[in-house]
Amino acid sequence: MKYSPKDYALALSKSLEKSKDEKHLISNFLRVIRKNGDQRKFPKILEAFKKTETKKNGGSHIKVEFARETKEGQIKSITKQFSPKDWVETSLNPSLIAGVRVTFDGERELDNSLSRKIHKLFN
Amino acid sequence: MAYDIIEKLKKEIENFKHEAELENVGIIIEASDGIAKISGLSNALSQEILIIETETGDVSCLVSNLEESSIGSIILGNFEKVKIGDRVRQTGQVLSIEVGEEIIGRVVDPLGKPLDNKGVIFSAKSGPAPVGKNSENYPLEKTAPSVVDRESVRTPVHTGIKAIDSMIPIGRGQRELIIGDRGTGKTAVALDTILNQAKDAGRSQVVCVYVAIGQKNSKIAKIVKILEDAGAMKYTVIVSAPASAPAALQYLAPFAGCAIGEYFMDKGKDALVIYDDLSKHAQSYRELSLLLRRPPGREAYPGDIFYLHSRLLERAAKLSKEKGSGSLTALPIIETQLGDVSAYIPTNVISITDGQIYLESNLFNQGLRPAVNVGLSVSRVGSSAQTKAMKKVAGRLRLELAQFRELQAFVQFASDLDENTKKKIERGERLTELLKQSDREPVSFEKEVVVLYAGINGFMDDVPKNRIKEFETKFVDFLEKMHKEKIIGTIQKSNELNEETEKNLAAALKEFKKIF
Repeated sequence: MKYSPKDYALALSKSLEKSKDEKHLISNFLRVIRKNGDQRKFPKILEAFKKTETKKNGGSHIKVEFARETKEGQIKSITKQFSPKDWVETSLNPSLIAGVRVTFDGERELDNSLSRKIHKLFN
Repeated sequence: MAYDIIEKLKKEIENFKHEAELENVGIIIEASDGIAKISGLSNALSQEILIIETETGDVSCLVSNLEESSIGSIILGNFEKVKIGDRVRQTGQVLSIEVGEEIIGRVVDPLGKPLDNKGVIFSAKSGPAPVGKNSENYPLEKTAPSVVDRESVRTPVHTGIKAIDSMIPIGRGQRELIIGDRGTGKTAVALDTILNQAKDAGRSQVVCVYVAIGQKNSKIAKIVKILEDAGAMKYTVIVSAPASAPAALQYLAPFAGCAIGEYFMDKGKDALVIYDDLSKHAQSYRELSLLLRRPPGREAYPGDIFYLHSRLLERAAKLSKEKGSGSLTALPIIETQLGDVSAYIPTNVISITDGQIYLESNLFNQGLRPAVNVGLSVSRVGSSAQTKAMKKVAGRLRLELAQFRELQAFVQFASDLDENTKKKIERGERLTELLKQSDREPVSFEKEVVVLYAGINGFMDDVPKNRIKEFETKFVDFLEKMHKEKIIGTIQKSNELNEETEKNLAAALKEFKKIF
């Protein structure tokens, strides 16, 4: 049986709720991943786990994409706008040409980029 | 001119306003063979159209599977453009086709785009719906008319084929299956029916929709040429999803054809839709379902294959007076393998339809064309739509042919048979000969009646079998020239073969036989 990253993340999250020895549990979890030959999935498992934990704590996964390199101060001022429960991820995406794009839980987005404006103009 | 264009564009750019707003968005996580898996868009509706924003332009897709954490969709455009990570947006619209009077005479794809190089279908004057008055957007998936909206079938659809019009009559609003092996003349029956609609005077003009599913492009081109040459494109629309088209378009084609037919039905007109063929439609749906990872059932078809065809064919109806009295007749075609009608798809469609015209390869190879097996073919509701004139000759024809079939085994021992049996066999052979008909030569209903009358009343008993065709042609010609108003005109107008007309017809036959 092949497990998806989401399955691993949910299993880990539920096990951590009951466990008293977190270190032991995590090392066992990593062993299980290795035994199943799913090491390649590890980055995705980690992402899924972060999403699960954020959701459990009542927060949102917020992805902020900038078109150009942005100063640390600017990034901080933007991330401050969100709740501490949220998981804010920032990245550089030159395909936006200019502006910012914010995605909430991979479902809703606020796109204030130039590429979106151009797309809307021609479609 | 160039200056004007640039100025116009400049104004458009200057006046363009875009305010960022919170939008629902999905992301492509898997794309292969015309199928895309999308994460996000958890509030998307089933059968909703989504727009995939690819690097080279927008591509639409149709929501098909709503799963716990993703959406399975069918890509309706060029699926090679779609890449993982492309963003997907909702439109809030279900798949529909723009239909209007102007679509008649055109060849379109299942999304309504013209394929015949004759330019845009709906002129700027009519414009797209809802602005235009002459066209409307009709959804591809629609609920069939309810029981109270329907009426029983009472007007015939004459195919112009003697064997069918007399023994397996089709009514307006009926669903009659044409089934047979490859190369038995299924498409020819459908084409003759379209061609004959121009000849069927006395009844309202039927708008025909021919839906080609998974056919060769060369075959579709040939059909268009035949219809154009015969002047039948004046009342025909062709929906083409050839073998080269993606499975998604082949799957949508019958629904598009049905939507076009429904438009005319809702306008109070009579429409006829030919689905050529539903076997290939089922195969394209199987392909999509397997790619969408739906569990396979019998012959690897998905579990809802019956519902796919039943919901399509249920849309054929004869509407009540309150609903405008329009009708939609469906002629689905099914191709069998080695005459096996008990396979999954043939049995499904047989049970859905109101009868079937069974074409047999044995009969075809014996030179009996159309190769209709009268014994296995039935029409469950068509007889109530048959004209009185046709009923009068058809009842006896069926009986004579049934008796002939029973006695056919004795043909080899003809010398030992009594006179009565011999006569019955001789009559049966002549009637069989009379029912032979070349394709693309449909006969109008009144001519069918007079010819069949001559056959069942023994006027051809002394005509050599090899001269039956000649007798038929010359007799019809004779009637056209000598008794057009008295016999042919009367039957055409009254749809009856009353005593006086019958007397005149018998007299005309005697008169003709003297010169034949």
